[in-house]
Amino acid sequence: MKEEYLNFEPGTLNRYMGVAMAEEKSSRFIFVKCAACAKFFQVERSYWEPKYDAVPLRCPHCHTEFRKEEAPKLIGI
Amino acid sequence: MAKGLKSFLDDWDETHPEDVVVIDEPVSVKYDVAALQHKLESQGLFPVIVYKHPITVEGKNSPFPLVCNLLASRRRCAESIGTRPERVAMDYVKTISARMKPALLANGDAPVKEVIERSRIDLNDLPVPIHHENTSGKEITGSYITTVDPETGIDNTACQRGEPISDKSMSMFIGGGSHNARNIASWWAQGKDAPVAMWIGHHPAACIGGQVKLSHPESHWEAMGGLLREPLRLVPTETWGDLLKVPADAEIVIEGVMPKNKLIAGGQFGDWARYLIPSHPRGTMEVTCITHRRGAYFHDIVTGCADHQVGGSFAIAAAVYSACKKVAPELTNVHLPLSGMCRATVYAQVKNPKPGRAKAIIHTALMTDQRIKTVFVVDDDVDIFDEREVLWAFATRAHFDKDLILLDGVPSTTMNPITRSDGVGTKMGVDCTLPPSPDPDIPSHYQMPMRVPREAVQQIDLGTLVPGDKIKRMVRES
Repeated sequence: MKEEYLNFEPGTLNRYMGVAMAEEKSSRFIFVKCAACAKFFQVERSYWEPKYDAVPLRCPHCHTEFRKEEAPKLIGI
Repeated sequence: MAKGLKSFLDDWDETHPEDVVVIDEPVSVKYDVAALQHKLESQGLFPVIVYKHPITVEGKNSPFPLVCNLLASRRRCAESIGTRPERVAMDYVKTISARMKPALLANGDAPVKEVIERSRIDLNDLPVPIHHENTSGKEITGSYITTVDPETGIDNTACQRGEPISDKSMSMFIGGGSHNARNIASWWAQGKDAPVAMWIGHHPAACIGGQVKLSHPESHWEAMGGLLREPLRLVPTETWGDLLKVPADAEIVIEGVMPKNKLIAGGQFGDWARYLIPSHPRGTMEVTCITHRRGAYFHDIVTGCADHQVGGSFAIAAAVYSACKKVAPELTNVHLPLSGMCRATVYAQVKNPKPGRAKAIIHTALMTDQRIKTVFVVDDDVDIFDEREVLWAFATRAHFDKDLILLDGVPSTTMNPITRSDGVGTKMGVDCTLPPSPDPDIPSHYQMPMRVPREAVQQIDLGTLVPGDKIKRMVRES
């Protein structure tokens, strides 16, 4: 499990921990799949407040910027 | 000579040569610097490390030597402010109370103005490390950001960070609730860009003083002078003049402006809680000038290591001691251990507390700082600097149905991942004190703990009974 967690596969996290527990303890952020490199990264939930609509997401792995609606997958929103 | 990072390193190397490691071999700042610190820390070793020839993330030889682990040792930090590790909480309060007005230098007299770069600015010359995997990039961490309140002209300083995103710009990690964030928001509310300066590398006492908890608006310079035990020397910035001053004895100053409402995604980054902070919108800084000493040291703090946790904890320990002493005069000491990241856990020691005082300490300490999550109160026969002793008291002196205090829905730091999305969380305190004595002839109405007589322990000579080289070879177990 540890190795899978470090590889940012949140689906496996839920499978092992139970979805309910993961949601209870992970309410502050959202997992985002990068539109370019397809790796997951974490983004503060507050990023979805309207005042940040014009601020694009930026992948910490490949540094590609993309709009929230362009993210191929969001987990926890 | 005024105190600075160089003078401290020279003095410390002379008096504690075993505690300064100078590395002449080229070392990459991408992961390797952090890896060495993690390895030393796992062995309980916290020396200052000087890399003479750091290799930048881009693979260049940096002209700036790198200093790491400066604030990792509780003993070194305590000595730098003239006290001992076990007296930090009490003495820090006294020392910052002895405020000293700063001295203002002319530009030509300031060591940090020996080199002034306005046109050839390149943040990539600095050996800015990447510490951890899955972070978004390089991060300047041994940095103090100074801003000014536009209403009063009073400055504020905090240990805050920046991520270089080009040769002349950074995204800034200035926590939303911080006084610097408040100053920047005030400039933006007036429709103006915010003046800002980042200074790097100073005497540890100045670094520790830069993290003192003050009200707003209130300058840090006088408290830093108190800890330095000499007036902090200041100099006007090249960009902002007298509006924004910086320490004249810093190693490097990066001056700039934070354009109004210009936000970009910042992070993920590590922080003291040893988790990556999720990406979120951050302000940016456009660099207008870099000044530095000749041969300046670049100070780096590895996030989540003792280097990050210890130095910043002195101000919190002092705030807890100060607040709790008011509600419980029987408080004798407090300690924020490394196991709690020097933030989340408080060990409080009391002597003969009156009924209710241990619980008063728990409530007060938990509310003193949003980062504090757990408080243990123990008697003065328990060494709060020995974690085994505290957990022994916890296991043998508390009725969890009566002595455990749980607070739910209280303000908690978002640096701790367990804090909920509304910024609240649960906190806990345990009264591990013994019942009061009904008679002056007995210490407490409780089973007496076993103790080897103190004199016997003091008199036993380890060196004559167990050969020193054998002790060195023994495998240490916990």
